[in-house]
Amino acid sequence: MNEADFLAAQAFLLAVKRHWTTQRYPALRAMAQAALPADASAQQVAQYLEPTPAYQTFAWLERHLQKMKYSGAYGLAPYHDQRRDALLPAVEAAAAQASAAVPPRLTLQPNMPLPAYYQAVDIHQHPQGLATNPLAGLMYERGARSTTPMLGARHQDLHTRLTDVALGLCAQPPARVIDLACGFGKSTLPFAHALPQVPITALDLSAPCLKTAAWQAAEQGARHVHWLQANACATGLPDGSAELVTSTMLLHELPTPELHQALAESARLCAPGGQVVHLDFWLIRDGFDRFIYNGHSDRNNEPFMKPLFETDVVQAMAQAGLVDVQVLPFAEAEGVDPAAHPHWRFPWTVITGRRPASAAT
Amino acid sequence: MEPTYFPDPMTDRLLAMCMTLATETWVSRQRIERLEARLAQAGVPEVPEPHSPAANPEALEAFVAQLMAALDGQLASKRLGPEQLQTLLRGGVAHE
Repeated sequence: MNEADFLAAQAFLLAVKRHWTTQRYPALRAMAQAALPADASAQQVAQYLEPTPAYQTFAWLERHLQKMKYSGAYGLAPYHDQRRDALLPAVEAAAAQASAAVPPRLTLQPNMPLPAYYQAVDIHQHPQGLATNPLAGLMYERGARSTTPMLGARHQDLHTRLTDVALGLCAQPPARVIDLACGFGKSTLPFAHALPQVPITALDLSAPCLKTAAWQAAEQGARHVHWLQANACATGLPDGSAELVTSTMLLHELPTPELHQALAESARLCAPGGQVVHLDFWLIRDGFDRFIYNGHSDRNNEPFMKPLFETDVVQAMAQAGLVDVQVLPFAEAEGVDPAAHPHWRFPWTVITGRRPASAAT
Repeated sequence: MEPTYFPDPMTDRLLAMCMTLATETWVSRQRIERLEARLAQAGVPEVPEPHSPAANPEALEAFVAQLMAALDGQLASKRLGPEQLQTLLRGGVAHE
């Protein structure tokens, strides 16, 4: 496929997604509000909406727009496959350079076992998942540009805003940062730019994503990040390795046992007095949205999102050894009111806690 | 198998065909516009005024709106329901 056809098709799919976001979602919400009490549960909303063509159409569009974005005739998968020879050398060269640096800026562990859950589902409908296809990082990076259509080019704003929030939560500027499940580096690089003198360790299971991250970091001149292939549930890093431990969109991708392991691991990695900050999806304003997000969990191949909603994260963070646990709504862009946003959005939530300064605290 | 959302799975599959064809239609429209722009630049007469889709995002929004409106089954012209018809046949006044 030629570049112009790919861009035209992706622009079309994004325009339909905008329609879904700004018109289908509010219409469905209005339908439910007109028919049900304000405190209707997700089950009540499901009982009312599931038989309706309006909801069936909404659900179909959510599933298939993502499918077409990745796997359609003009999808990200065939687009990148056809450009494999042109795209990979730059990433591989940057990865090789980062691996050879002293100290290394990229450490891959090819023999590291990948968790069963990670290989069992193609998350986000990303064909072949993120672990095996060398193009996966580039595909993910390209796809993430239109994950939230209302953000458009401002998507980076989300990560920059989290950087500001996370640093604001820290009692003191962190001397070291760990970013868990960094993907292709979109969450990490704003920290790298905000903290140019602070060593940052960014880890992920996906080698293709880490290579893409190393490439992007080199392009942006961020040479103080160590991209490390590791499991966020058991990193192998020493206790208290960083004053700030973060993750972005990790928790909802973990089955419940691994969720608790990751929370415990992030608390263990946090130095005494340091801060743990997870950005994920959790605070949901009402039964209608709960029903919609439960459906999203299934439709977008994110099966562990629904169990996360059902988890008491405050208690889980406390069990992990953190204190002053807070669960805060997060506005992903300027002007977004999480309690009253009219369009579809993810239920962004900051889940944060502090590692006690000492055992007695 | 792909999950389905309508009572008849064929509805899901036919809709997938429609969206695939709609994507092709939009891609083809953009190709035609690019060709027209090149022809106009080359001085070929009888070419409609070209406009870049990038400069005219309304065209894309209008295409999507038209396509999506088809999903709702809204009437484009008034028609009589059975009760209204019977009312009129009895000489009464049919209310919408």
